[in-house]
Amino acid sequence: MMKKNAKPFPTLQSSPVWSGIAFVIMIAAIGIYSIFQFYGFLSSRNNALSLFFKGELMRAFEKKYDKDFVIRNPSIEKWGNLRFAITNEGRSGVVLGNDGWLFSNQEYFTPNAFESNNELIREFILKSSSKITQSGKKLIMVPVPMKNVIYDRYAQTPPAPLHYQLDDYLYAWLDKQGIDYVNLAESFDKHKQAQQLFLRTDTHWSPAGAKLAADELAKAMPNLIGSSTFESSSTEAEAFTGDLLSFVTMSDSIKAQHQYIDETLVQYQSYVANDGASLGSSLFDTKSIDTALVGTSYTAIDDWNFPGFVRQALSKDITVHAIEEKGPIESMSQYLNSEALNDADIEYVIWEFPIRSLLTEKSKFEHLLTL
Amino acid sequence: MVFSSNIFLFFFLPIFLGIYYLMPFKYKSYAIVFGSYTFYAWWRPDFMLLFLAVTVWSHFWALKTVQYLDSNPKRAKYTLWISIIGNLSTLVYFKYANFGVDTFSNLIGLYGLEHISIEQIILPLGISFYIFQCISYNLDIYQKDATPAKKFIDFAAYISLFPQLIAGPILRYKNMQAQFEYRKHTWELFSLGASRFMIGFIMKVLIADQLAVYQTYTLTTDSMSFSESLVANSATFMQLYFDFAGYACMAIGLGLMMGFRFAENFDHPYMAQSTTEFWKRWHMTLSDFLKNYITKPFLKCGVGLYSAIFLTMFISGIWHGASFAFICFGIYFGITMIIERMTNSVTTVESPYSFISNMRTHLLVVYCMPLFWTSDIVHSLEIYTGMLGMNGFGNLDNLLTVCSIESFIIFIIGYIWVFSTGAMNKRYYLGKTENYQTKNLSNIQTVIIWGLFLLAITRLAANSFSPFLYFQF
Repeated sequence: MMKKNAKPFPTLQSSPVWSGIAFVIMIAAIGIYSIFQFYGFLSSRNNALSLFFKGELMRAFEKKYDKDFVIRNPSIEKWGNLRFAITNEGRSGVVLGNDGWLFSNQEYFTPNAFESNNELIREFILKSSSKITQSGKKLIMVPVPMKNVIYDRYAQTPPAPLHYQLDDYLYAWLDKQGIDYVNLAESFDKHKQAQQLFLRTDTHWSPAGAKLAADELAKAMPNLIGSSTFESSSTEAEAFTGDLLSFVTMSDSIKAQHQYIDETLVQYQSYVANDGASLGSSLFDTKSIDTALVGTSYTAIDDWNFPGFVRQALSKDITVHAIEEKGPIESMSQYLNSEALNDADIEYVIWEFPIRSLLTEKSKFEHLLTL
Repeated sequence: MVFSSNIFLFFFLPIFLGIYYLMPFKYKSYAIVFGSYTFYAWWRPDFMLLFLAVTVWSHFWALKTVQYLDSNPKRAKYTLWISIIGNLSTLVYFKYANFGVDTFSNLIGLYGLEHISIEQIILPLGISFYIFQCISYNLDIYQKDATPAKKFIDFAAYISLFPQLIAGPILRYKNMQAQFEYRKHTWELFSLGASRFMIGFIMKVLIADQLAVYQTYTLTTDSMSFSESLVANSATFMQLYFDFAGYACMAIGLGLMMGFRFAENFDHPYMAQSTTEFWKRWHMTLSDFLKNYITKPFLKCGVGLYSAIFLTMFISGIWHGASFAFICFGIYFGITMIIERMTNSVTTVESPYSFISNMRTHLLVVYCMPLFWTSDIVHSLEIYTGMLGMNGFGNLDNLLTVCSIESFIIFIIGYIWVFSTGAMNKRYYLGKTENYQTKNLSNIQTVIIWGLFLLAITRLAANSFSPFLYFQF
């Protein structure tokens, strides 16, 4: 490697002694604190030895140690402040908007292979529709518009031109395939000023947005409407921390200055109006349920009460098959591979489908495409 | 447990150094073994037995080799081969069994035969490194470059030495032997070690960890455009460098704190002007190992120079990972190094600087990297379609959206770091200066390092866990 008469390898030769002494003092001082932490941790564990041999004890201690580390929270804030000051960004995952609005960076991503990805997604929708039809049911899609398109006036960075066209692309194709759907883009655009249809600090719609979607579903599909009466009652408005706020790690004063703070949320609960009992509690209800709702976190999370508003709008009970954090393809895939598809009473399958799913990379869903 | 973690810096290290310095010299190896096995057990206590078994096996056969070395050279050679085969078999089993069975299964599947499979074998941490060191020990003893450790505990300490245990530098026993018999412990040496450790910590936490998003982007984004793929792969390579070189720096620093002088592992690889020179600046202890134990024996056996180079890099590829992508990774460099020899474009650290040669080499290295981090040929080819412009020139909008402007700024800072320090390095080798960055740290430079080190500690606290890339080798 180095010839005998070559220059000596250029590496650090010396460092001031005070640096070594300071290093020892620092690690010794914090080391003593750490020993006390470890003793406290061990005292709280009954089966320490068996956990040690499984390799779990020290990892658990490490996790706890990191979480309780004395400078952790101040460090998170200071780095958040620095990041915001230099780049006007939150942590990777959020896009900061104006007036306290936050958007998911998923909504700003346009896959390079958008066309071929959409071919695959459309193929999946067709296969799903076909399988649902073969089971004697009818598919109705409810494409949920994108938050940063509806509320682009709050976006510091406008969405790409393509994103404004996603609804129309999908609707045109669904029309061509003869698949029923609800045009939420138009109604959301019409009502966005009068009502806040998406949560300011969350990726999801608000209860107002969920209710509007349910009402539009009933308007578009009057044949689905039943004869029961459901009502929804509201709770007191409470402070709500949206999922996107966890990506905003500046200090409280900076967050307050830019309004990246909790918002208030009025939650709703729906029930059969006749006896005022909560949903599903009527022992004497013998009507069979003919409608299933398949969806994502827009359906699964109770905070926006979408299933409740659908019951109210359609005046009947429904079954719900929704999973969080997996997207509409996985939730439909699970439904189609489950026993629920064989339920002969079900005649209609409503599929809540966030439009932003059309911007997903193929690698995230292609393993789900075989039905 | 990794060096760039709160638990290592503020729990393990002070306790270990406390015990180490309390021990008289003759017992320091016991402290090293105790500390190193505890460090290893943090990952999986059950694999300590394998570790111990490999240590005992290598030392036993080394003693046998020495016993017959002069009286019965043939028998001595047998004992050497037994030790090497035992160690290599262990490595092959843990690292390559799954790959081998899967490949064989796919092959017989082509002929309609039933697929076979075995349960997934867990790859023990650092196995490639400590097995290589054991092999080097037995070979050095056979070649009379070293004598067996007088005490088993010294050999066990050499193999288990935690600073280099899981990701090198690969230490040759002949270079370490004397240090186990005598080494100085002074404040000057300790301070030097502390400074090396802090510099490595800064490299890892402030630069490498912030560029991890680019690797995720490279691996999860389909049909990247030319501009995206070039930036993402360049940033991922930079992450690899700062991660690995930072780790090596910390390992060397920890060694110095214990009075050991380890071999250096990096010498500004961004300044390389040929891939031959790149492998003399990157993971130098691996290159040294391969040259001494693979290339030279091949040449001695009459294998031609080009074949020896090709085979060495082929083996290097296999060492890096159990997949065809890693084999192609090795072959790629084998071919470039042969072409360089054929075209007389091999350079050394002392070759005059040419910007074009430097950039050409940098691109050659970056273009090889998809094979390295996907470890999958098909996935690599998908990335190459982007790197070869088949998906259009594109722009960086998606990249900046997902990876953030913050990490892009860190990427630029990384380039400034490597080329400014690299320029000084080049001037030093060309004889234009006796100095290079941080040769003898001044008080002001030390204060700056301390400032960045404390900043890195806060960044670590803010970001929590950050894994090393070279763990599973």
